[in-house]
Amino acid sequence: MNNKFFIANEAQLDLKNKYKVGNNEIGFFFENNKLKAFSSYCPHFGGPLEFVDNKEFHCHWHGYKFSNKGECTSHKIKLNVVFFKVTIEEGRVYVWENT
Amino acid sequence: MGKYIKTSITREIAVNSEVVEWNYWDNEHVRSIHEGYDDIHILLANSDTTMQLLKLKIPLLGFKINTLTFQHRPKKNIILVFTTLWGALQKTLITIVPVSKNKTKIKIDYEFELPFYFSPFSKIIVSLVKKWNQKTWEEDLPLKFRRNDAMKNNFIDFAGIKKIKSSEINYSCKLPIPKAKDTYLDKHKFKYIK
Repeated sequence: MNNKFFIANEAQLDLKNKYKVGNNEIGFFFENNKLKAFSSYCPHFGGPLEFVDNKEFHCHWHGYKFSNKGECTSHKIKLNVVFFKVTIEEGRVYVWENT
Repeated sequence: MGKYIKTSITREIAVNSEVVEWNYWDNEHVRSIHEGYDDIHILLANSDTTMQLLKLKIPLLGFKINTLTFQHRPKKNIILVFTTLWGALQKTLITIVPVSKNKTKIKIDYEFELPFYFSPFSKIIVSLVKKWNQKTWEEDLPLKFRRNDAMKNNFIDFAGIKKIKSSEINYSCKLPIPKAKDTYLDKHKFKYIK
């Protein structure tokens, strides 16, 4: 089963953009020069999750914050940002379905 | 002698009725989404009722005032709200009518019992209520559309969307709306704890 999804050519990938892929919406950021992909639906109630100041995730709906590792830092609750595996193949960016 | 006034507003939105109902009961978004509210605390919440302490920003006058709001769900898709402000008693009946899977009608019936000192301003009060409703309605629109999109895409509260392709699930608004234990909503000293 092919469970990788083409996003964009590497040169055209826009970190400010969110990419609608299947049922999800994917955002990207760099950590230690490595491209990371996350679901931009806040895991709390589905608000718009943004990676801000190059260090953490914010959702303005209910004030939830998450570290760059995806752990909730604003509330005492076990709640994590959903990440997806990313590969770059011949200059093309793909995300992979979590299995 | 006081005065009794009423007014109604009808709206329609292209989202599921469960999302509309959730929006009325999700108290946590009030402080960050709605400009007219400065703060909110939940004093009591169970499967059909909440008692909220709201701090309103009074337009033009530039100060804030506390108001207690009692919100009750006598049955599915019906919300009854009672509140008082400066001696005026307000009853609001919200009727949510599912039209289709992605369309909902909402009827909001406002009733006011005004003390004598507000009676001369009844027309202004009706006008302010409609403006307030319009403002909060517009502020909520992006939230409702995104929430509807999330639910259609198999979003699970406190989990997210872990798949990229997945089938649609049926979402149902259950009360009280779940929230983290340490949220500011629960920190008021009047909070009722069983």
